[in-house]
Amino acid sequence: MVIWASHFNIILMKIIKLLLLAATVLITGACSRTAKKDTRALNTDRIVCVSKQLNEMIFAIGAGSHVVGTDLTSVYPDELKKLPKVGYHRLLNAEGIISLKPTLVIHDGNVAPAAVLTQLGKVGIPVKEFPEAKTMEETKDLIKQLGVLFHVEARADSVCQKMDNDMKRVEEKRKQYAGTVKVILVHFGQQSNQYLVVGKKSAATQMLELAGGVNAVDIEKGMGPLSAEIISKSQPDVVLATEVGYDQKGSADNFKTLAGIAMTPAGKNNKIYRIEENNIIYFGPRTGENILKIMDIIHQ
Amino acid sequence: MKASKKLAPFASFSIYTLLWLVLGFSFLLALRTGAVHISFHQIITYLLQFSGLRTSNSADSINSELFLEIRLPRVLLCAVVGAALAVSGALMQALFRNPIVEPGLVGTSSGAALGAATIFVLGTQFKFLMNTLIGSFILPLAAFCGGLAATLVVYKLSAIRGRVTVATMILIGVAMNALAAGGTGFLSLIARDPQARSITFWSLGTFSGADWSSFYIVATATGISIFAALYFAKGLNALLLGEAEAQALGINTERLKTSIIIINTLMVAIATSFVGVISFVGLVVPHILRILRGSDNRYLIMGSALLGANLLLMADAVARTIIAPGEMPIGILTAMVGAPVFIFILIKQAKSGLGGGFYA
Amino acid sequence: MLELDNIYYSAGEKEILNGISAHFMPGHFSIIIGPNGSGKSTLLKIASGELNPKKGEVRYDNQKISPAKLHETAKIRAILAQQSELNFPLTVAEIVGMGRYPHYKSKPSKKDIEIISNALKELGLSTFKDRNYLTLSGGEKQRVHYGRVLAQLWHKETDRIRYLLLDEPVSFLDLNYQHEFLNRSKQLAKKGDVVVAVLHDISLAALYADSIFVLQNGKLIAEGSPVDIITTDLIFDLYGVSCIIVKTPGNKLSITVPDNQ
Repeated sequence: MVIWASHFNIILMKIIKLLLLAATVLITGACSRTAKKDTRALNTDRIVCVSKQLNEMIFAIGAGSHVVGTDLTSVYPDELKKLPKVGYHRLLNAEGIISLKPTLVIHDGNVAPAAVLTQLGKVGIPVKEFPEAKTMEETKDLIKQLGVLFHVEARADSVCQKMDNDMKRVEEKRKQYAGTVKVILVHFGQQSNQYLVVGKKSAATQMLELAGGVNAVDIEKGMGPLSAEIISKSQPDVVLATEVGYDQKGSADNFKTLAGIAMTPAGKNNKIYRIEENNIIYFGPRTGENILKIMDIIHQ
Repeated sequence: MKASKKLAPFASFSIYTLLWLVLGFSFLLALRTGAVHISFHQIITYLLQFSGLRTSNSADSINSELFLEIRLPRVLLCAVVGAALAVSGALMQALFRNPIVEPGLVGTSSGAALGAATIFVLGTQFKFLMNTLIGSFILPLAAFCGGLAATLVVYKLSAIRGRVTVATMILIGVAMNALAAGGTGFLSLIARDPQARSITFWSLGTFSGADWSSFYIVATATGISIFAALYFAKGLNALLLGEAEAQALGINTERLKTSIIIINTLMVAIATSFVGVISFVGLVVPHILRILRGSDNRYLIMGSALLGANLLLMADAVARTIIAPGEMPIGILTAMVGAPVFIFILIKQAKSGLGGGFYA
Repeated sequence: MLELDNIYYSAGEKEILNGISAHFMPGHFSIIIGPNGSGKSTLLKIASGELNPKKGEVRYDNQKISPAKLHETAKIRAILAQQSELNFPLTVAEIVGMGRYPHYKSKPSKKDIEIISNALKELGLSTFKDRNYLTLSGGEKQRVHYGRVLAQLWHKETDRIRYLLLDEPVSFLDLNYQHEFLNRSKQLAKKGDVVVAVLHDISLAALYADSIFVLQNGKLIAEGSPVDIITTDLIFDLYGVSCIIVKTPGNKLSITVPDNQ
């Protein structure tokens, strides 16, 4: 009868809940161990790195063979594309990372959910954070730190040396150009599914300045939504667009239709150019080369 | 699909036994599955080790820790959230007297997510408060308020003299969801902390943050809510006949409606504030159960708890294996199953002309 | 006895009932008739306790009913409406079973289960008890609800009397069902309960009522036995049509409206 079945069912549910509670109390109670203290040197045999900047640097100093897994946004250099992806860096999951049997997990602090890092700790996998490098100096410093981590200090130094040489060439070339070009950088935010402009506090701004340009938008922080108001205020001479956003529109002409770009000097003179995200959004070992490229583009 | 003229083909064989069996099976399967595969032998070993009945093996400690600190709480959390969302669907359908209501569609979940997101993002402004005892209550409280606001708006606006018009309800639900999504999106934009900027992923749901404390909290809230809801099952049955009829049977309908809305919102808000918005579970599960054995709410509530747990267990097992080592947000999977069911029911309703004509 | 004592009711600005007093006696099948807008349904809703009068009292056996004691009232008073809004699948047995809700807290007793079974039998629904309500015809559905109210009111001869209120219960039914239900209601009244129905069809009212109550514009303008009350003048007064009333065997009335009005 329905009535008896449901009565029995409630009791059964109550018992199961009690058993589960008891079981979990038993289990967690028995775990009176303290967290593993990491006193030994970090084992870099198998690395999962979920920062595109760090990944590029690791490969640049020749330690790429250590990397066994990356996040979705790490796509440069090409070798990275073949590696297993553990997800978007702001939506990680611990199990996926653990399944790659890493000896060390590296990140730049821009990761979520926070629980994942805690879970890695519980399982005993060391995690190391290298805060994102936001200037050329910090970048070189970070490369040197990675050099120490992977015991390839000499190689790291030579990369830094090359960066210094590149920057000298940048300074030289800069003298060719008089005046500064007003530029805005349009990026496509895949998470928010909208066009964004890169603000003043960004790697791109610094690169533009070194390239003889200036970031014309009036936004302080990293990125803000693209709007007609921002465009008309900034009146850029040149518009740079990262590849995802540019390719969505297909051509410079189509891109002009966004937010009144057509009315700007950039729009009228057809100075809308495509640029790869990994060449301008963050600092790295190729920044010097990238700035040279940017210089060529914006001074056309 | 022509419904059978007789209900309860399972009358003799308890449908609950069936549901329990399937749940047990899914539970064991879910414990094994994932980016890291764990065998039954390992499961038993790990459980025995830490109840002290067997000595631990430090060589295997990563897997055993993974199982006990990550896999097990995650699977358990899936089960209780699945139960919570399915029971919520059953309650809302009884309340609105319409089979296509559920917390995701109507905006309860996204309202709760918005409430939680607000605290998450703005909470850093009030760090001093957040670190006190009050702080740990503020997040679920905000989620509750958000979910309640959304539910009340939909309920008040779409019920005309107690009769709920489907079209209005769906449209208002769409509006609520859009509003919440916009709010959450805005918050993620102004957020500084990378944690806070990830709140847009809440619209798709994920169990990757699951741990023991989140399980305890959600399990407690859900357990209390389900037992409270069972108390009102009789009244909900009467309410199915109509509000006047229920009153004629001596049911205090105002108290019933208020209680159910509060119980339901509590359950959904707590679950949502931990795992994000997961839609369609509350739609699909009671629907299946009704086809099997009708609409008695006592049966629906208990059956939904079991079947909902089941559904989400399996969905999460797929979510964390299908693109391993990556993870698919679970809301995508539930939508893939749930949206076609939703459309199917809508079409059937439209064809029959009656409010719930699908079941005739 | 169900007493309505000087009942006033308005919805917003509009006055719907203007000082109505009436006694509905046990053992009599009382039927309320009147044109649309006369306030019949409202009066019944006030009699049942669903609505609260602006002024005046409702008394069951000299005890005033109140919204706070809703649960108690439900044990002795049942309402049958025109049609049900139910659009979820429930079995016939489950619906009839709901009639016992006022009588138990969480689980039905053996007595309740027995009464449900009796009610099913009484309405000829025993073979239907596992049927999905939604698959039944209109008349069958109403029969199920009748079974429910019977179950709700089921009592021993020695218990206090019960009250059955019917709000246009047969409006949408086929002829056979109309007569089945009105017959049943009359039998119930004969057994000693108070049975009050609002009917739209005067012919049916005239056929079955022991006492007729006529409402017009929120006032009770006539009450008494059909034979005494229903006259051609009354019908002309209420509906503006001339009719022919024929007395049939057993003091019954048959009302016809000839052509060419």
